[in-house]
Amino acid sequence: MSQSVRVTINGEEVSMQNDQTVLHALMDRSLTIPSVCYHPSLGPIETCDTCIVQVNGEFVRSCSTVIQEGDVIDTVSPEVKEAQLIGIDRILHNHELYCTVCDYNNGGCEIHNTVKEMKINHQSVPFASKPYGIDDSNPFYRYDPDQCILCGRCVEACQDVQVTETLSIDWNLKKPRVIWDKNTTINESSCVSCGHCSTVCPCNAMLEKGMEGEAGFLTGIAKTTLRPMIELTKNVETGYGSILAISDMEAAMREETIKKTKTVCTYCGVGCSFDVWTKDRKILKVEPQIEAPANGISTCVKGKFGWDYVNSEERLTKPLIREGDAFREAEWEEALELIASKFTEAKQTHGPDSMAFISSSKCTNEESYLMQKLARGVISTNNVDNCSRYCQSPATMGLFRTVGYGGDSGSITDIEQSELVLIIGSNTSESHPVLATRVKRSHKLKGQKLIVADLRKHEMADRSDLFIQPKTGTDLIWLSAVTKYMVDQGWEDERFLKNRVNGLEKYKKSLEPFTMDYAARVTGVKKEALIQIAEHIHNAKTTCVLWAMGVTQHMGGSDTSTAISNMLLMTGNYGKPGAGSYPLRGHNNVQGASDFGSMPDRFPGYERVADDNVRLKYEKSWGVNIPSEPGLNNHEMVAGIHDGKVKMMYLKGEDMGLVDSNINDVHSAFEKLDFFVVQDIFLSKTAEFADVVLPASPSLEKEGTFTNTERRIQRLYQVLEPLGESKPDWEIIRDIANRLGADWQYDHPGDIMAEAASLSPLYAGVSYERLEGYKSLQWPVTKDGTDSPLLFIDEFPFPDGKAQLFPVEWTKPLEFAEEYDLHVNNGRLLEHFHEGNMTYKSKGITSKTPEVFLEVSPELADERGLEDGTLVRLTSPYGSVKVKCLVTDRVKGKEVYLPMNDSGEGAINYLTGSHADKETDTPAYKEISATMDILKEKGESPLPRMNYRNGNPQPQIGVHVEKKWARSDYVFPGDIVKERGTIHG
Amino acid sequence: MAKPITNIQRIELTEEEKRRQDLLEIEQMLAENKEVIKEFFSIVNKMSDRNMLNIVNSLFGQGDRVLDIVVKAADKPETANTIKNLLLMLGMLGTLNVQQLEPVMLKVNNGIARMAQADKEEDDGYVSMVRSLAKPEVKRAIHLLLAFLKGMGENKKELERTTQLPEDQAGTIMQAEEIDRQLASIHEQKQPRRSKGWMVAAAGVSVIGIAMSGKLKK
Repeated sequence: MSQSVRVTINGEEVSMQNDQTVLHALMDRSLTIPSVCYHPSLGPIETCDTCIVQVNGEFVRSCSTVIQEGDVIDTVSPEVKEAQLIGIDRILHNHELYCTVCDYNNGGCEIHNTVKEMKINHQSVPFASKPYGIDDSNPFYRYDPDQCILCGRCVEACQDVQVTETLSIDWNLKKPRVIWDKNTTINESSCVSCGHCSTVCPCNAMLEKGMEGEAGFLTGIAKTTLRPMIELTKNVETGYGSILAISDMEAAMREETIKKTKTVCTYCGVGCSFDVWTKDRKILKVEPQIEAPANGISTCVKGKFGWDYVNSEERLTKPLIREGDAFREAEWEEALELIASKFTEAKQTHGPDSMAFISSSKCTNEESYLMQKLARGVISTNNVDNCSRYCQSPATMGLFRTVGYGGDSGSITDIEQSELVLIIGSNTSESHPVLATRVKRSHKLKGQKLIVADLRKHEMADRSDLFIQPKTGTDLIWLSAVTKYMVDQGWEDERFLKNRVNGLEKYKKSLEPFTMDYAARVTGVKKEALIQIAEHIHNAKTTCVLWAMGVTQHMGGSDTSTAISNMLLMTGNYGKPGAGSYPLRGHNNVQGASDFGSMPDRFPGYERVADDNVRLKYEKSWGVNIPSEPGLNNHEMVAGIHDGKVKMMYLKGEDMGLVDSNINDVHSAFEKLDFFVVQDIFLSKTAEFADVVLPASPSLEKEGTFTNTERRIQRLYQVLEPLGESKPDWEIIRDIANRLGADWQYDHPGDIMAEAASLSPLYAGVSYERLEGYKSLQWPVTKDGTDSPLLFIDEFPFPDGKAQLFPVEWTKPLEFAEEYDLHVNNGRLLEHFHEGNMTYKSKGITSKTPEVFLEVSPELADERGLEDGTLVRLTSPYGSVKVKCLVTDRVKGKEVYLPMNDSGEGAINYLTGSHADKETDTPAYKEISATMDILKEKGESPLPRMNYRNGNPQPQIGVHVEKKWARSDYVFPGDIVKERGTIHG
Repeated sequence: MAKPITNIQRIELTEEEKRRQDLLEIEQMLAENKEVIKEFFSIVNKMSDRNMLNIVNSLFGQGDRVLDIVVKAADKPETANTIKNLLLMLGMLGTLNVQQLEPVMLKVNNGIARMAQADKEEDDGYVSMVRSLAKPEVKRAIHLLLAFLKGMGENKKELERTTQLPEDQAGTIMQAEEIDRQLASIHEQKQPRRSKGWMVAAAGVSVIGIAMSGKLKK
């Protein structure tokens, strides 16, 4: 517990909290103490020795010394300054100051700023080069040992924040340096290129390659000229003072050419936000900010380095109109006119319900709102849906049934502080990399327990305390059995159930069939393991369950999600910090696309279309009539086309022709459409079937908001101008609506948000002002702007405020004929997004992960004679794919894994069928079996040697500074000063 | 039946269309920036008259090579020294307290004027010289000279940037405070005190006076 204590700082007595370090206490009182290696997001690293002060007469590092009652702190005596000086001198011994010609001279260099702050004029130990060359091997960042001050921030970030555990400092070398794995090159190591190291590096040692030769006015000059220039700069120096003044001036000038814009990442549902540094259309780097609410300083390779696609030559820059067997570029005027006339004609001849609208989980909330407004308010149909239908609708359903809100029940910080994390059917470290780092860190350092249930032994499984591999599609059974076991033991949370939950008796009765023996038999998981899970949950004060497509993309996806929520209700794991249900949203705006009404049965904020009062509210505001019947979902739209009911479709930002299941069937549906409008940034597979293709602008070229997995609404700002004649989606939808006579007056996405907030109680207090910069709001947001980081603290959103236990039964997964003897699991890879048409545009990513591959187990490889590079064909009842094999023990037995990131012959959805979750019609992507034929026995491995999966991580905690201190050439600066004092005295 | 197609027929502008579009854009730009452009051409004309355009053209044309040569030429001891001296001089100018210097400089100017005048006049005898020591302006001058000598005699070696190795300099953190303290102490030195001390001074200065009179006699 924190207590108030009295301490004396530089002779003045003050009172402060005792649970903080001396450095914090001093910084709070605006006393500047140099602290080069200290980073607020990393904590004390203790390598730089510049923050030394005297506490009770002893020299200590203020970053790691905790305040105690009665401490006498001295930060200004000549002895203290002398000790700090030794610290900075040692840093300058490792770092050459040539600021004006340095790409890192952008005002944020810790060394530059500390030297200036300390008014250092000269250093006593001159700079000495280290006997190592620059490591330039990685496509995204480079390491210059000569500029490295060995502060260890990068190591701390890699080991304990990102927890990839690749970097360390080899303190045993004569000249220590940062090493990768066991001292290999960056590119051949286990480095996942997440960018943490270059983000936290205080200087130019670890530098993003986009910055090289670009950031400064003089940094682009030829290498041969640069060296004499550095020498000249150094020879001329009359003390650092004047040099720093010039470099400060130059840094200020850079502000004019480098633009820094906040955006929100689009590569998953975590919702990382960061600044993008650009010079014209060139992206110099992505700079995460400490205050970013979801991710802080964290990113993954895609968010940090995967933006090349925005400048791709393949981007669409003009509307395309189908003419014979080719698309013809056209002007906007012509394209919009054509669309308006076809829409009007279809509405008149076949009625509004012959038209279907598909919104995108990649687009903004405002765009989702406009799409449903176009469908409902202009065309008069509820046939509007979005692609969360393909992933998380079952989770939303499970939560609607039990707790009333279809979103994560807490924040990422709750997951971080939970005592027990249970991950089911989620390859978290590849699908939600930054969120996974929080679990990995808590598990590594804070004693958090981790249980993983998955078919595949992925990284999270590798790290877990307990890993079970239930048979595919049987999660509901073991979840129910574990819950029943806890009830049998009397471990349920009686008080919570009594006060806050309905339907207990009926639910208990429904659990009866789920005995441990039954569960063990059907799931293939040992009884002991299931009992252990129950014990873990019972012993933990707080439990979070994280789940994803491994649960939802089954015929019983909604029911399994419900079973998870039931279990959490039974154990009281709702409405308290560190607990709750977390269906991890896959895309940047899966949450928001549904939140803002692109659903056939719901208005924004999940208000029902069938509810007369709600409909009346929208009818009044929009001045139209809205049909009361819910419309068709994605799945039903495809069926509707085949049936001849749906004649026209307007789809934006979703490659349905690749990501829907059973794509052969989807393609033949597209071919039957009378008129098909596709809006995208590329000519996607889906767009190939279109009659009109409209060029849209990606996130970096527009404003708006996204809602992440935590229900967190965040603003994105425009980084670049729209390329060519492409336009933000909201402008295009507005223009189409206005051609149809809507008279929409939106000049800015903020206008759209204001309208949505005025209509939907869930966002009552949402406004662009409250979301400015890095500010964010987690819905529900009340009128006064109070948001809800943690749900259900006092009540559940049901009439009596109580949650509902919802009995469910197991749905047996699809059974295939005997010849289909391999189960084809599928999902994501860390490096690629969706079907890959964005991330494959990055040369760096493509060089490290050039193509899709099929993971096969060593057992299967032995049995069938497969090796890395063997080309095989998988055939299911619905189609076939051709792909190269990779033998790995991440999969076992007759289980194979095909990542979904391919748009060619390896595209998973040639295999999948049309079966779907019985509640939500989410395709059962995970229920697919196939036969295998070998097409070519030998070939090159689809995974290059320099992929992180072939690396050799070296886990350790922190930077091992004690090894530095133990070196014979190290003396603590405080001791040197003391020594001098005794000599002089 | 809408079969998938990947073939895109781009709008290909003919050479003439492209030219027409480009010209239109330029024309618009010219019209919008009439004044600036007039001024710009006037400057360019003047540059052309002095052959500047040719020089600049060649310089940019061979940018990398020229820069290379310049930097390499600059990276020689004498050039580095020139720049270094410049920076040092700038630094020294910065340390001068012009407010204090101004009255002194006015007095020095006045002294020089008197000196030039004295050169033309007849020399006085020793008696009148000693007598003139009692004149208030001479007393003031002697006081000032003494104060100056005192200040000059103080050891300020530790602040020198040109004569000693970096590690011996007092620079660093304390430098700024040091300078502040000196300035403060100068301010503290009150006006020359009128005390009996002037007798001693007169005695000493008379020696200088004699030497000076010798010089004037020449």
